Amino acid sequence: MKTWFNKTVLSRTALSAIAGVSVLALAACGGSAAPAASNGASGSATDAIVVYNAQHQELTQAWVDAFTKETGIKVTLRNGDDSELSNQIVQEGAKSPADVFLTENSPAMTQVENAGLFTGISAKIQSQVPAAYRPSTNKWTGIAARSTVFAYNTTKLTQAQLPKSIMDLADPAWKGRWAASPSGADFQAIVSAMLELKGEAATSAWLKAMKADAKVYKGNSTAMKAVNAGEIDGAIIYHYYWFGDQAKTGENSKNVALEYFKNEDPGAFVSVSGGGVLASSKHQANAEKFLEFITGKAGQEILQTGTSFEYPVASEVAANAKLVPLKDLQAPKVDAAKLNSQKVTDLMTAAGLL
Amino acid sequence: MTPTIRRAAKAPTAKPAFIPDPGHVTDHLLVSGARKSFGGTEVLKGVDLTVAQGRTTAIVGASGSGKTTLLRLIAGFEAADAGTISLAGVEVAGPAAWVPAHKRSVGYVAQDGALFPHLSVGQNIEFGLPVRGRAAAARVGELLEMVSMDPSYARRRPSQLSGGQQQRVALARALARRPQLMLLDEPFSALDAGLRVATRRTVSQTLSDAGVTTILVTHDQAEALSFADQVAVMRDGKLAQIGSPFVVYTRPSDRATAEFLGDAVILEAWMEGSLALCSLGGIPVRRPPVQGRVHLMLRPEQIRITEGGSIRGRVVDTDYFGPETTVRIQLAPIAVDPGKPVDPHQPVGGEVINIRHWNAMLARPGTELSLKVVGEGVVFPWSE
Amino acid sequence: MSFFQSTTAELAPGSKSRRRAAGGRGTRSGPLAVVVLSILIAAFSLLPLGYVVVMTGNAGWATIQKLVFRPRVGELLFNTLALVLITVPICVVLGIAGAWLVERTRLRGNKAWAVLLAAPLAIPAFVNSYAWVSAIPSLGGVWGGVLVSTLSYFPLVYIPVAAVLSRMDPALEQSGASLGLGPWQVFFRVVLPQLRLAAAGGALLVSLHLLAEYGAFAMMQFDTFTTAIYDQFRSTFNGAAANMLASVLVLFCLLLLLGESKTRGNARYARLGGGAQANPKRLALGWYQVPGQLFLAALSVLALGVPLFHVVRWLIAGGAAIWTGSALVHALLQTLGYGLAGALMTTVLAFPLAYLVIRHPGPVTKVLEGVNYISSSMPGIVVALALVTITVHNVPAVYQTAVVLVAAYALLFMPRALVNLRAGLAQAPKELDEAAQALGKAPLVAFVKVTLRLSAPAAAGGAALVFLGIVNELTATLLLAPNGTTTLATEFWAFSSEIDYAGAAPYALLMILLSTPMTYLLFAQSKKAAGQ
Repeated sequence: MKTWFNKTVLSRTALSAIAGVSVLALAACGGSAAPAASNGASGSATDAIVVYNAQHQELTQAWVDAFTKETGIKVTLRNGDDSELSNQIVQEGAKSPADVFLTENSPAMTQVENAGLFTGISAKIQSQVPAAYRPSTNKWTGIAARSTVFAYNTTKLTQAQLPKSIMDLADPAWKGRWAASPSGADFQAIVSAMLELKGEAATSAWLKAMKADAKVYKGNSTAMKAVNAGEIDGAIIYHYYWFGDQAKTGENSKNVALEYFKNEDPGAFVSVSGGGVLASSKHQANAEKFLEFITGKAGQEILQTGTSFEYPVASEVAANAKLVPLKDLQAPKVDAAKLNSQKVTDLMTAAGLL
Repeated sequence: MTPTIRRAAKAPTAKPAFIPDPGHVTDHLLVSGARKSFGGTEVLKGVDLTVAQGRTTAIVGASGSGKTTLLRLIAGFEAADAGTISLAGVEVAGPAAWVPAHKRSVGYVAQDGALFPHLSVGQNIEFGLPVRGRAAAARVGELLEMVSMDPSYARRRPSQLSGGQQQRVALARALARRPQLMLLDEPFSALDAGLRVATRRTVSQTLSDAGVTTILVTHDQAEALSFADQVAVMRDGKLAQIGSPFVVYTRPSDRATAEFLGDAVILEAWMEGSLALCSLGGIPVRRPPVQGRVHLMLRPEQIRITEGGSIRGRVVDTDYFGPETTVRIQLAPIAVDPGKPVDPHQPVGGEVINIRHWNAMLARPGTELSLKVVGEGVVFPWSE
Repeated sequence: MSFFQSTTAELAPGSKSRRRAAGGRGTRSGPLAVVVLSILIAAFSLLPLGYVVVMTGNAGWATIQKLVFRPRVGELLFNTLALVLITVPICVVLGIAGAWLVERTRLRGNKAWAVLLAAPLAIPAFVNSYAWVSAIPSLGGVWGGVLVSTLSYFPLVYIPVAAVLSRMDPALEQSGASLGLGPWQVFFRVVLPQLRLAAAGGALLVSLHLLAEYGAFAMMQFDTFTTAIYDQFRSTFNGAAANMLASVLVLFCLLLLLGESKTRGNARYARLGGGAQANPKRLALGWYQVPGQLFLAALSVLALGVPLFHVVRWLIAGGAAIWTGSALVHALLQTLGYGLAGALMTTVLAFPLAYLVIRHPGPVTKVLEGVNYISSSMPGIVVALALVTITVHNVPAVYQTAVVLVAAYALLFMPRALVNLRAGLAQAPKELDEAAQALGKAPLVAFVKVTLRLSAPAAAGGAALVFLGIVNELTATLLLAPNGTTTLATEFWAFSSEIDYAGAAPYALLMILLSTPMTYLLFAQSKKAAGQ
């Protein structure tokens, strides 16, 4: 008798509790995702913007916090990867809820630009960002930069044993000794530079060799950690992973040193992170303001003083003192507009890396 | 486990405890031409049934004969494909009318009681009542007494009751709304044998005291014969015979009905006038339907062991049941006069029949006995 | 996933009522509204499969050849096959061995072991992988995948098998013994065949989970179809290659379903004939007690101890810093919100089909059940991919909204709700509804007061299980979450992919805490369900 009584009361209480809490929680959901709302594609609040963010969440969050503090404009982030978001924007077309698109590398920006979905950058931004770091079409702008490096385990490789060029890694001598993260947009950007500089045949051959010889990791951090642990001799990553880890506990990088290929080698490729305003945006003014902030002094100083360790590219802000200055890197000259991410994906798929 | 039934203090002829609401018309039930098919199989093939007010009818038949379907049609849980059903002169089902189950004022007791497990006994009984509170509680007590249960049971859960008690509570629940008609769907079949008889008696008493028109569906012929004023035998979707228990038992309309309602001794016989000549001699038959070669039906209790009779037989074996014994007797072959030509219309004897006797000692295997027949027989047209 | 679909299907005697068909109005197969609703829901649940079929059809043979018949796919195939073919038998053996020890022997502390063996379900597989990768950084490849999967998923076999063993009729074993079979023979020839149903169901569940798993394998550099699809998604959003891989994956799942239904067989498993069923007897272990305890202890340490230890270790290493920030509260609230909304929605959507299956079994219902069975095997990534593509092109109004994410959850977890609802509705037979109608209640009132009331506890149980699934869901959430939405799982993933294991730890802890009561519920439910 008692069990039945309790069960009925329990189930009644449970059902009403569920109903009550879900209403509350969904209200919280809805509240935090206010600009996106539950049934509308674009934000209902008048001055909030939606940013499709492929940059590291921590960095963009720092920009957003500072921006909101200064201007009061709220920002909602959608985080993802370069090509995931660029493809998504292309698919969404004019109905896209995005106002601003930020990437880690430029091929994704080019893809969206080629689909005709960006509106041009404002004059203010043009004055803040040197021409080298924005495409000639001025449809988008660079916001930061990073250098390709070969991170190697200091106990396993001496200076003399390091590869002179990234192309050397295709050599069978490097079998099983190097790694990268081919599923990431970072690596795909590096390959796109290689494609632009060395052509399809050489790139294809290099990729095939990579498939046979290199170890594959998911994520640059994981690759660096593996180098540190001695599982592999070296990895192709971007420079800031090392600096970032060193600034924290260093436990994933204490045995690691960075080699900069220089000599305008494809391995010295400096990838430009991009930012652009979508033509379909319903909050153009605020979106522009956001980009202006990022490329302005305050935004670029976050790169200088913050924990991202990427290179600033605008407003004449110098890089973090710990980094090798940009001009010393001898990066190859690559036209950002020519970097073709679709072709890279195809080549990598054909090589069996994707 | 003996059920705790409080014996009704009143004599059977006392004033009915259930006084029909004067505004409530307790008239009769009329089913006419009911047909029902399920997925291509015709289950009811045209059923006609009338039940008078206050009377109890038992619909009896083998499993699959359609009796439960008929009950469900009357209750309103199914709609007939053809035919009409009227309650108290009002047509409730038919081509022109449809009254849903919850509006029909029909009480229904299902095979296993169907008490709501999440409610107490009292709440179950109150379920159909329009009133609540103290008036309802009083009524609940009254109803429990009616089914010979102590009112304190109202607080218990159905799972704490025995099978018989559950059935009685189900009855009380159905009676609570003073229905025009009570439908009982094999309500005793799930009970153990001892419980079954006692519960049956209580239910029967309650319903007759209350004067409610009742239909009971059962596959147990003994139950049907003992419970009801009117027995309807259902076979293959039709009612083979409707009549009082005595009539359907002693004068079944066909062989299948005869064998269904009880043990039957069927012998080959030849009619001569109103006498059927068979291995047990000449048996009087009232209103024989045909002449010539027939099946003669006798009930085992009509065949008695006697001293010095002309019909002889030998005991083949016996089944001892305690109070009585079934004795299987092989009848003696009937002597044929060698001189006369063989008459094909003569019984030849030698059949094995079952009779009943109280004295097992008298009927040990191998014993030679003589038999006599008491009462009339029933004949059916001959079929192979 | 249907935890008890296989066990109850045979054990519950189907035709308690010989009665067929509906009441006065409505079709033979049930009330029209309910049938139509069920068909609509079933059609909706076929969207992912339909999407894959259409995409494959549209791709053209040349594209299929280029994208499917290539060495990479061969690699993925090998990895996936190896994973399934090694993990599933191990899980079956562990599950049956554990269940047998706990339910049918005089193992000391068997009640505690029963719970401990089911508990690994409270730890999502990707958290398990996170812990093991912390312990053994070089863990990877097929064997790494097998290790983590086995430890995460063996309860899926253990739970139904234990439930069946605890209710198995000892008369069967006694008959075997009386026919001259020794104890081991009795086990193999009488007991094991009875477990076939439960073990096959559990094995199917494990396989489907393996095929759908992403986080656990991505964390340890082990590539399967699902990780490859997700990689392709990250590169191309929903390019042709992703769709092709998805179609191969779906093919796999359908083959698994076929295999399971063949293994299930048609034999009866319940006791024939009347009489009450006695409680099973427990076997004395004698000196096998110690090895038995050690075996279970080892299993628990590996499956529970290692993950919990590392989560705690990272929590301590991270200190108080990782607990600050509104991100944690935000993720928690959103997880709760989606979990509850999803649980409610899924239970409601499952109701029409459950009602039809129990009250109006027939050809239409069989078809609907079959559809549900097939669509329930679709991995989360395929569901998400399908919904993303369909909404972005055809239904932009709901694209990137909570509606689609909840819809994905409903698609993924409807089987759990369905199984529980069916068991609950079986507790409320039609006779009770009819009795209520004969007592003057209109059909709808009778339904609410009797049927709904009686099936509410089971419905709540099903909803709780859906909640469990949503809390631990990663792939569909990653793809479909509206802007600004974070759940515990996605935040955990964001941190751990940056190798910020300390930052990921609080999320892992919260997920485990939220999952624990539900896992216990699942465990308790399965014991009851086998007794139907």
